[in-house]
Amino acid sequence: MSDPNTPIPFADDDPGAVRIADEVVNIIAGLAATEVPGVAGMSGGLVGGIAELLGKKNLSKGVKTRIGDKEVSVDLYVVLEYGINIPATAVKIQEKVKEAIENMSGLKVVEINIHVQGITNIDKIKENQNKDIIE
Amino acid sequence: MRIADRIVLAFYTLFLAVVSLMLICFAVGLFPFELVLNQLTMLHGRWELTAAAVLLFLISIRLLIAGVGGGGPKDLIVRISDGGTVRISMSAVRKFVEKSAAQVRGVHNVKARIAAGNDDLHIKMTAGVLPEMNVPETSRLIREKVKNSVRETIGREVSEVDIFFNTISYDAKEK
Repeated sequence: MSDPNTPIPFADDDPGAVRIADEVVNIIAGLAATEVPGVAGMSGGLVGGIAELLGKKNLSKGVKTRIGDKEVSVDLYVVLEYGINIPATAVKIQEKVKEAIENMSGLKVVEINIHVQGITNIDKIKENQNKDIIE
Repeated sequence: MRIADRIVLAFYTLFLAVVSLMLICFAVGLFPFELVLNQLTMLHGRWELTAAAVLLFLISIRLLIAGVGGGGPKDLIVRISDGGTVRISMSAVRKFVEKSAAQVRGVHNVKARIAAGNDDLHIKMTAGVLPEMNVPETSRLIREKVKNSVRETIGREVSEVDIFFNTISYDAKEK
């Protein structure tokens, strides 16, 4: 893992460097992944779960990035919907996240590893969300 | 846990059983205090005792790691490409298989164990079934459902599905 505020040189003739925090790349990746049909959510593990219980909204949940000078590799921990084709959905996630990171940060994405942590019914998730709204 | 670990565990527990038996005998006064004191005095400073203690300590650590670490891989790799790998946690695969099998009419309380081969999966499961169901037919439907679901969702073939019906009851939550 590099320094949290990795300088990203966009082009050789740039007058300066642009710095993007790792957290920003994580959020870009997390938001892009959850937009793919079939993705029920991100899996933040025990720490992420505790943070959410404490009321902290974590947009970078389930995303780990390793940022180099010009490249980035990403690990995504996702929960997918029951009944979808996992390899096909994973490819869509890889494409979508790669496109989002490269367009928004200028970093080259070298690899995106998908870790499917769970398969769930989307109805159950919607039910829980409705419960939260009512509460 | 591997076979070698199981053999070591068997000897280790046997040794602990003997030690605990000796402690019980000492506690209830079957061994005279002087005898025990003499034996301990003889053992004091002996390299053999140190070697045995070190060996026991190493065995304890080995068994602790084997016990906590669990057996088998934690992830199932379903796709490797230049863009990255796609892995599914074995617990997610297990829950998926249990959910698929439970969708067959009359089947409940499904518990599955998954072993991953080179290109296929071996599944063992226990399940409950309603009394009015035909067991051979239900087994066939479970196998068909699980194999199709795994193929369509995970992209892996299932080579065998062993089913053990451990209960016949109306109540799905009854064990």
